[in-house]
Amino acid sequence: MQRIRHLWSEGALLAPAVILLLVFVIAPFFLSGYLSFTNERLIPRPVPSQWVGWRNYSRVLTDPDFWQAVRNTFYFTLMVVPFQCAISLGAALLLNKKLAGLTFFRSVAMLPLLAPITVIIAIWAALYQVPNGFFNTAVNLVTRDDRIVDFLGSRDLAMPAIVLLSAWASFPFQMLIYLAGLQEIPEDRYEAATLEGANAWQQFKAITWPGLINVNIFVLIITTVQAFKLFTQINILTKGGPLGSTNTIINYMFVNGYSEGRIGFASAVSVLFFILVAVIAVIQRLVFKNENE
Amino acid sequence: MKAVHTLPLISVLMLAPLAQATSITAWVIDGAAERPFFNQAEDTFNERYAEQGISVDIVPIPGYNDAIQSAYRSNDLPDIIMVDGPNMASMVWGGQLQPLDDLVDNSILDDMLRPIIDQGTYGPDGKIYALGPYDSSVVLWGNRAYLEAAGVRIPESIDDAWTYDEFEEALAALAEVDGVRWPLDLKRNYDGEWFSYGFAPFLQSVGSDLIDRDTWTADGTLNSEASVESLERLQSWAQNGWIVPSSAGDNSFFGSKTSALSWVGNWMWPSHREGLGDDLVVIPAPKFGDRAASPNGGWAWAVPSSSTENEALSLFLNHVLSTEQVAKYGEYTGYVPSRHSSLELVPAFAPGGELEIMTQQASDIAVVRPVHPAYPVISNSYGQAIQRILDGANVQQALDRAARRIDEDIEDNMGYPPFN
Amino acid sequence: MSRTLTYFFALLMVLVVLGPLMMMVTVSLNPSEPDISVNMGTIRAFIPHVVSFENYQAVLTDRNHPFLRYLFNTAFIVGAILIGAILVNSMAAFALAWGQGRYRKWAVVAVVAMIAVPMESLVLPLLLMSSRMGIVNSYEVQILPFIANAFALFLFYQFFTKIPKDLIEAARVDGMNLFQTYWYIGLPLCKPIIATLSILIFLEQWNNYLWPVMVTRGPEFRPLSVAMAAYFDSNRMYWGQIMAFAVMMSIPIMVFFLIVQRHFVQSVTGSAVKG
Repeated sequence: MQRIRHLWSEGALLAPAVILLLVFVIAPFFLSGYLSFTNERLIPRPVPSQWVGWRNYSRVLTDPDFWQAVRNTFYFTLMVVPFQCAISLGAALLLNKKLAGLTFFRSVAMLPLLAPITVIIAIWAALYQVPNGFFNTAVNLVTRDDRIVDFLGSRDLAMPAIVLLSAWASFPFQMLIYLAGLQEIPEDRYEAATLEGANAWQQFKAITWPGLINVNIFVLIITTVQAFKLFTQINILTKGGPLGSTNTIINYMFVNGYSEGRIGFASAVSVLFFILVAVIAVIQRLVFKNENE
Repeated sequence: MKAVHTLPLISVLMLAPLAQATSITAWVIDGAAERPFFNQAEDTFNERYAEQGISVDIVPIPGYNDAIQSAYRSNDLPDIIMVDGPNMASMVWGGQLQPLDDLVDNSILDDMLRPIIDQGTYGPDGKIYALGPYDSSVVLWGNRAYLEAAGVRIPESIDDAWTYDEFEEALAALAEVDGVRWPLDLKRNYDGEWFSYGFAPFLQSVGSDLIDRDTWTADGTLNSEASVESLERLQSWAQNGWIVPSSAGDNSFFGSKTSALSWVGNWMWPSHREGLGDDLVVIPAPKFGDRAASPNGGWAWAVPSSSTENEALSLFLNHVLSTEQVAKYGEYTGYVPSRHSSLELVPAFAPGGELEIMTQQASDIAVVRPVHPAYPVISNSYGQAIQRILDGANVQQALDRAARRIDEDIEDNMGYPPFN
Repeated sequence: MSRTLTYFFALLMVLVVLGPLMMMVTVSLNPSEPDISVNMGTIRAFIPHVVSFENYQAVLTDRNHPFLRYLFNTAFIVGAILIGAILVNSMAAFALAWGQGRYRKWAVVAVVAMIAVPMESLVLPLLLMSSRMGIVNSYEVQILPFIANAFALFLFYQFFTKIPKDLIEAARVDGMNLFQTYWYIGLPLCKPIIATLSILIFLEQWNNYLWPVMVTRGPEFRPLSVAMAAYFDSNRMYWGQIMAFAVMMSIPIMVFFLIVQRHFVQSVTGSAVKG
């Protein structure tokens, strides 16, 4: 009797999560696989949707826009990940020193994390403003002329401009994680090294960097995955332009699936996106596992 | 979680016993020029039918197209809406609209401009699903001072419109005039539909089109040799630095006067007249090929298939499409009134008026945008191709890509029966 | 590194971080749009030289963008997700940790696998499902998909497995069923996890954009993040008002988090160690 009562309450505890996960994660996951083989569209229509085999995949994979989006996504990731990790680590090393006013400096460094991304985008849009925004004025001061540089309107500069904005927006998260990692490295190791006459760089190489290896793996993985999902900045600032130079995989999926309502086609994109993210996560884990050993 | 919905519900319930009131809700586009028109339309209608207890609530909606689509999906469209004319076929095919033939008086239908009826008529059943209070057209607005300084011929009517060569020579001459930074403003600062609507004449005038209107296939028409040739020429103008860039904003023609010609629709008339005064000239759409072509059409009234208040809707439609209201729409917004009888009431559009060329274009050279359910995709694909071309992309490739996307969409919808 | 150099870098960091935020505040306080435009690239864009609340008033009285309604929407949605997520996930996690079924080992593996599925690859089928169910443009469509959360579930699970077995056994001997054990023993113990998750879920929802932009229309159910983007889009070049909107949206949160800073830092770093 008691056992039954126990099972009953076990089921009751599980039920809400199971139902919600089934409806909102598992069902859509398999549905997206199914939809990618149909010509389903978002808006109801008088003809039924059909099974179209691999047609969506062959269309996606032969669309130059898709490949441009893939290239752009990798380009963004390859720029933002090292850059953002470096400034996070730099800031963490700085804050790990026992300097007066630490709480103040740490509080300031955390502020970008607290501002919603849409607010940050608006602020940076003002900084990139043509012709007289902050960055244009700065460039003109350096080059000593009044040539206008349209950062977000230029094929070559738009993506780097978004990298800068994105790194500013989210470096504090990685910084806090590095900070925690740094604090776990035992103090006496540094003391011993100082006694042996090692300079700051030698200490960093011999103690800090190896001590952060696990933190590095974690930070690298979350930053990479985050970079692959780049969308909000693009949607608000450039809509993928100019000439597709800031189009990303998620933006491509959004435009095709939502704006144009081609659910079947865009589902093929989201399946490919999932595979890409999974493959990259696996590769990263494998690489770091080897280094760890 | 539906708590928020109950408030309007309660207020409706409270009002109900007062009279057998019928109130309909209309969603309209939100624009500074349109708002005063809709305010007076609502007031005059409610006053006129107050005794019968019939009233309308006209609500301007920002981000209109998205709002309509998502309201349709969540099943809460109002009684009457405005739709962008060329999107009508897509909505009818999706079962979203009902015909207006029985709601609007025949006397009104007979008095409408032909292209407006064409825009609103759905091919497969020949019924009218959308009726606009106005028509639109695109002309070349010119700055007389600059044109005279450049020694350029100014055409007087649509018959002696510029040819492609003449247009190009004019631009070259204007580029040399003092004060002209860019000879031509193509409104690159706009987005969306403009790049399809405003640039379709570059195809239609040379005998090409957005899509073959018999076979409903884009490949072979949109990306035909004639199209490529025409748009390569346009692209060379951009490469010569003759076109106002999008970052220069909206007012290069009428504000800073850094451009000499502006290819844009009648909605800019009030700003242009204010900015240029007597220097403003209206030049008809050029003959890029054998003939001239101008785009037309615009937002139109339509009734969702879910609406049931037919009596009130009929009264409302007959009111907003009355000769006076249609004339007022033209006066408030600078658009071409869509009824012959209203045209006479607005001096600018009447024979001898400042915008007579507009009226001529609307009735003689206007090419209605394809009335086909794939139009949103056609427009989007061609618009993107144009933007790429102006940015310097390969013309053939850009048009191939657009044609491919259009044909893919048609294939995905099984040819949009019964259009196939 | 010498002390001077350290402080130099620390100050540089302060400048880089505070600069853009100072500009947001400065511009929001300037009622004159031409003045803002002229000074955009000068030092006057970063240090307030006039103080006027005209822009704030303009934002608060904008008929098309009811700021307070957006604020309520965000608070309601985030609040509902937080409460729901904490209860639903901790319940399931407790059952996985201390239940009796054989399925549990596999269920945990499934949960870990689900952590790897990005929301981005689910939005299209979810959008289609909600469209067909007719719940697009509502609160529930913005709340329900985010309640069950594999990552949160796993975090709770890890925590619960560390509860001493004796404690659970004692409860069973006292005649408590599993639900009671969860409610009286498990849940009160996991306050630190609740704090961590509240902050992480809050940050995630605060920045959530892709899904709400797809499922909300007009102001009725739109959250602040999407409203900010729409406001930015429809008032381009009215920097004063855009920045006033931005300030009202971000400053209260910044102040609040600076007050609870220590917990905040622990939460983020806690997630790192455990994730």
